[in-house]
Amino acid sequence: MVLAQDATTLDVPDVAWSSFAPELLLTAAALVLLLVAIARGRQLLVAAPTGVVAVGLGVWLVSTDVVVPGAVAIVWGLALPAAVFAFPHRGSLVQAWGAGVALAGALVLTGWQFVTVLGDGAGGMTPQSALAGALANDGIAFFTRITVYLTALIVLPLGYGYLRDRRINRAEVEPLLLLAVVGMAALGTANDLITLFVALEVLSLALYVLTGLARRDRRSQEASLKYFVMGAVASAILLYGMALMYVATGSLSLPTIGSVVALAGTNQLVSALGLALVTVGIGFKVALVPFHLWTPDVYQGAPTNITAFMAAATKAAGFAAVLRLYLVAFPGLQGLWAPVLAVLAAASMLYGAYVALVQRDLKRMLAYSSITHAGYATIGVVAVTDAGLSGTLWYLLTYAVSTLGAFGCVIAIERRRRGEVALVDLRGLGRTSPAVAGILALCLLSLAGMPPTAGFVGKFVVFQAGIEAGWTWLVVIGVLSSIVAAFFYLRIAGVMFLETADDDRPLPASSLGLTTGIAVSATLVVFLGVQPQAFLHLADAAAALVR
Amino acid sequence: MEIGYYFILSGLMFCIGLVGVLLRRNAIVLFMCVELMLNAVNLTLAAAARMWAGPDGQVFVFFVIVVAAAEVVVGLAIIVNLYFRRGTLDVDVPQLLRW
Repeated sequence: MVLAQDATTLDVPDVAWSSFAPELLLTAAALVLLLVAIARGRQLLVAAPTGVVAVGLGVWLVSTDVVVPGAVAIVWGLALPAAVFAFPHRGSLVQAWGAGVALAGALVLTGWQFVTVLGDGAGGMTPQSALAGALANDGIAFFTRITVYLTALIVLPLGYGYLRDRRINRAEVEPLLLLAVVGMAALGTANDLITLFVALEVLSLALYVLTGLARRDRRSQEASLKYFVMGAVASAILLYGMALMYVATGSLSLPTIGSVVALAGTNQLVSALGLALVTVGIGFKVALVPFHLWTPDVYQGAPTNITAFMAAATKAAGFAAVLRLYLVAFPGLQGLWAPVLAVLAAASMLYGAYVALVQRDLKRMLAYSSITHAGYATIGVVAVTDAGLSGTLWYLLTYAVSTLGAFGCVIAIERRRRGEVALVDLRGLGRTSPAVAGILALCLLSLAGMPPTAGFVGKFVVFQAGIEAGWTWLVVIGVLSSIVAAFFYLRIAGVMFLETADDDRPLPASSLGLTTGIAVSATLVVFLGVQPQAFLHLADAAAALVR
Repeated sequence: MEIGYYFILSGLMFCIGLVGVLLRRNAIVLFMCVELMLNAVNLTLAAAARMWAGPDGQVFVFFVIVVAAAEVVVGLAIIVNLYFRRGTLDVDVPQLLRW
């Protein structure tokens, strides 16, 4: 808190702009894109002045030796008017390019943060806190940013043609997507309860609207209402848990809560109650059994590209909050929460895998598979070691790229059918369109955890961390559930390659954006599986936390 | 008055809201129950801020109020749109998605 010393002077708080530069860029981009959309026929009237301001800001930044953010601002300031000029009558293409360049810029800025602010020169990480401790720039923040920005960057081209085909490519899609991304990245950086709560709501509110994007599709509307009601209740429960933590400790900062909770004489009953409510609330957000009820309906009803985004990015952001809450604020109560989380993880892994077995709808099946994967990622959390922490972060990245590829193939198949994608729709896909079938099989193998894909390395790392921390029974359950899961993933591959196609099945659609998105995620699935060292090293470095 | 009474009152308010969410089926009433839960949290935070004699809890209350307002905007838009689609506010009525 900065308060005025006397009536005439006001202490200006010292703001470390570099600590949230990517989020600043994305927020600005979202607002400008909204303005551009409102301007309709007079887009240049908005885009040109914004471009001038952005370029001017960039030149000023470069002249003060902040070269990389300056360059990003200049590039974005030039790209937006250029896009408006190039596609004067295609508003959604302008939006997509504006958002895409902003997301790429955010990735560049994240790399710049790592080199100049976080890095210690030897590939390790020096965690820092900013804004009087409200933000933590450390491993969780860095890795969450990479996963979320990468996911959004892949989702943009994946969804462009799909939204156009369904006639729901309205102007609010890209700004809302960017705002959700900002919320997720902020959730990864949040180091006090207020920031954490606001970030969680920013991403949730944007996602409620995106889920209900198809206004004429009742499934989308029902999914949106269901997500909203469940999400609002979960937020309220989480918030009450946070309030009880404040009652017990008298602090909102996570590291301070952590040190106070560890002291004897703190009100253990109130902190335990707060911990329980926080676990319920955050369990909803990352979809752990028994708080998973919304997941299948919302994943099935939402437009498929939004589902892909939710599955990959929300999970990463939610687990960032889980890691920070449990490892920074509640390590003193480890004896209480570790067994509970372990049971939740075991239930998620088993329940998700078994229920996915009987699903006929592909999106619903992938939803249950996401519940299973939430269980695997939790193994790294209950390990409470650096290996577990980096294992969870790494696992979420591998899950994100695999699930993006799988949903990309679902989009390809769904676009021609314009409806749900059932298992029978995949019959003979291996003969009629081997590329889509092959990539879908590859991504499913990665979700099942087969070598040489990214999913194998991901599972290997979290299982290893679990064993080292003594959670052998949990890892055994994980392996068992992987075997069950492998069965239904392989069944899809069997339907695609072994059965013959019906003649009247339409072929999967393809467009440049969709092909690019699927190709990039498939490449990442293979690359992270064959050459994981570079990213594994980053994940290890990311175990450095602001505590 | 003892500060503990405020915590008891806010706990009761929270429970009433939670029970309402679980039992009632009208989307607007569900929504009001969620607001009741959020206001219970605000009361807890304000009382705790008094107890710890610091501004943190009161600052948090302002953020909760702002977020609750934003939630009302989004939530009512969703509810109104759904009402136009199917003419009822009962969240259990026709379901295309199985729970």
